[in-house]
Amino acid sequence: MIINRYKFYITSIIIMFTWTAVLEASSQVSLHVDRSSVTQNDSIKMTIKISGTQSAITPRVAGLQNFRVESGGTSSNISVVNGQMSSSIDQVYYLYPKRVGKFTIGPAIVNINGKKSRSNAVTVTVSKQSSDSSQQSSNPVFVTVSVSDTKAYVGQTIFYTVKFYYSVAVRNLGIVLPEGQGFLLKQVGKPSEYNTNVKGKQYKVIEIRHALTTEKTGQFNIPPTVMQMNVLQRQRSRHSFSVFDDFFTSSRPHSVQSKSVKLTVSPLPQANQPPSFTGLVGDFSIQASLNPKKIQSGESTTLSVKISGTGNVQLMPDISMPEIKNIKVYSDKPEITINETSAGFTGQKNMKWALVPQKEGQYSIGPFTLSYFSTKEDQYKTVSTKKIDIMVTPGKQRQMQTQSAPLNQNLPPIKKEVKFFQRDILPVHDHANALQTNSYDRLSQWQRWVMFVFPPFVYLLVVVFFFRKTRVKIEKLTAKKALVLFNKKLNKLQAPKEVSEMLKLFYQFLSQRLQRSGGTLTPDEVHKILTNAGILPDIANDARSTLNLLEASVYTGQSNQDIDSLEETIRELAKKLDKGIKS
Amino acid sequence: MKNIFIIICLLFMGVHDAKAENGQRLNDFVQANEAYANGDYQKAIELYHAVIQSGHPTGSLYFNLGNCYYRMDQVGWAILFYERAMRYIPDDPDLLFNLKHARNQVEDQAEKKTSVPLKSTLNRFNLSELFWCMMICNIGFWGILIIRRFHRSEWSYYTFVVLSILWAISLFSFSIKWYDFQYDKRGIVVSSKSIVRAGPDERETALFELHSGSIVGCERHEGNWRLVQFSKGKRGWAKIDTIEPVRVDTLCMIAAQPGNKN
Repeated sequence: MIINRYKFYITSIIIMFTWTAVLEASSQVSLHVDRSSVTQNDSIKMTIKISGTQSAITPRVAGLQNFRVESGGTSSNISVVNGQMSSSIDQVYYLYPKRVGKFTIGPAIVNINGKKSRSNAVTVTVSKQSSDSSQQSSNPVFVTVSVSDTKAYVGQTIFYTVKFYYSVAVRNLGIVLPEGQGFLLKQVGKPSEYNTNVKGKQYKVIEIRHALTTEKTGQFNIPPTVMQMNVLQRQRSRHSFSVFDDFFTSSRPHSVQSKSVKLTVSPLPQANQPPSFTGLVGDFSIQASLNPKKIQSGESTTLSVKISGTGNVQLMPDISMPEIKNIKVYSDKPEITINETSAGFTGQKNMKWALVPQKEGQYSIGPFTLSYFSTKEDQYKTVSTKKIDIMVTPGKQRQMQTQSAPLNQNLPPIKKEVKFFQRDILPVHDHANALQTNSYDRLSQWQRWVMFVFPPFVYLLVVVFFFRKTRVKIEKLTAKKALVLFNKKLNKLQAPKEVSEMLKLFYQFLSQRLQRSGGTLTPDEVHKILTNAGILPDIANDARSTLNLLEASVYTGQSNQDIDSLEETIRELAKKLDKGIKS
Repeated sequence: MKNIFIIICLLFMGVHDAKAENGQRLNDFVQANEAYANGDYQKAIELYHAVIQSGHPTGSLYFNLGNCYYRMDQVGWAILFYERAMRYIPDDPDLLFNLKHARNQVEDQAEKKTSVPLKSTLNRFNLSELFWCMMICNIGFWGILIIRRFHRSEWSYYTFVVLSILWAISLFSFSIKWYDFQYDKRGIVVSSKSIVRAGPDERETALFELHSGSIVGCERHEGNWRLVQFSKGKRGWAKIDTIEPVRVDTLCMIAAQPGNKN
């Protein structure tokens, strides 16, 4: 048992070390700053992410001589995604600029198990503090706004940055952005929070960047931005040293507003505008690739053209593929991705074509060009790809068919609508059936009616005749069996036998034997019916007197005879009647 | 014996006459087809009419007549005979194609009708098909009733329920079709133009005009004028010789070319 426990511990330790080794095997370092443009009094949050390790390692970071550095702590992460485990540590530092200028921070170098890993480097621009914030530094809460360019071209992305400074506790912050005709504001990236120093006073700052797009040209006066909030105030107690001072705080609604900003939007210059210009403003590039470059005729190759850049990326045009003789072209749907970053809108558009050369030879594709207006250089620029050569060697017919199969699976099938060249009617019916009258017309009206009525008529016949006959037969049969049934039922009567029961059975016998239906007969009626039925008068009289006797016994309770003799009498009478009645 | 011989002779003569009649009918039909193929459409029309008058009309004969009139650029008459053919062979693909083609050449925009699912299904069958369908269901229904008089069992009960439903549906369908067949009030404008007036008189206000091939609903007639309705709210009196009823009926046959184009 103890041995097993030791085995478990040893296995666990081995697994842990192995796992740590696996994690540390692929270590990567990255460096990230929360803002790339700050003022002299702002702080920058620098995060160094070391993945593939769990141990605290102090990195060496180049380019920090222009900043005062404070450690912001270390956090570690372990995550399991699709069964794959990964771990990393984040080391946070706050940088306070010492001077104005453009500085490169990084790369960060870490040494893990004797192996050096280097991170990327970032550039940070430190500028002087704006006069706007300096002027308002006496207030505990204020807001400033700035635009990246006060003079811009239509279509150019301008950044409208809102900075909210506060040195007191605030809650429920709300922002009211300016609205006006001709411009549109859209937040880019997440708001960043940092500390800054304004005229020796410490402030916390919330910075929100917006992309400002304009559709019109001219001068814009962008109205102020308003920040609404609740400022927390500590309530003054009458007792100067009350223990409840910290609990009793009240909030006061407050709002501050920035100054308005002037912006001049100029139209794009008409001079030197390339004919292929589509309104793209910013900084863009175009790349083209072909894979494979050497194929057999009938096989397919994929041409990819990628446009990427920063600016009004939503206007990135579709590149048209020129017709190339002996090459069939199947276009794919372009894919566009747009990202909102602190640097503005960046994006890329990928376009793909499947090219199927039909004949061998050397073909040249491109170049593909893209024109845009560069705001950096204040001029139109046209970028283009290089010509791409494709070498097509002779291919076998059978191979061409087999190779083109996967292409067809990837591409949507191209189907053409069948169109009429001309329109005309179809010819006359000249077959022999054309003269054949339909069967409905061949029948006359009475024949149709007979056909319709015949089945219910047959049914009626069956019901009326067949069942009438059957019923008569059944009635005769019942009449013949009436005496047997009467004797059986009489025998089945439980002792002491009631006269009323016997009377009832006798009437049933009479009804069945005489094949009658309906209500109960009186003794006189029975006499009359029996006489008509050809019964001897003695028997008829006998029947009437017996019935009178039975009825008197039932209804008055007076009877000279006992039950057994009565039973015997009616048995005898029934026998005589059965014999006497003619079937 | 002598009488029996006479009866047999008469029957034989009757059969012989019927065969001769059918032979003539077939001969006319073949000649009409030849005339059509040779482009003699007028002759083909006369021969097809002769075939129709010599016996029962068929959908194909009306279809062929429609083709002849179409070739003679008489779209109104062509649509009329295609519509008549639709009463006999409503599911014929040639007919549907030609009728659609002819309708596309009609100048007047017809009112869009909402299609009733049952009605559109019934329109795919002709009266004869529905009649025989009803007859089979009728025999089945009364037959199962007779069987159930003698033999009551579970299977006979369920068969009875199914046949009752089929019988009711077939009877209902046939009744609707028969009503449509008997009381078809549609008429086709056969002249190139038909002016619809506010009353049955030449001096009445002209309301609107219809063109060849338009379908109207025919109502009563007074003298040489017929009350027609083109669409909802568009009704008036048109000259009787400009509109031909789809249904071939002696009551309706106060038409433009009596005796020639039935």
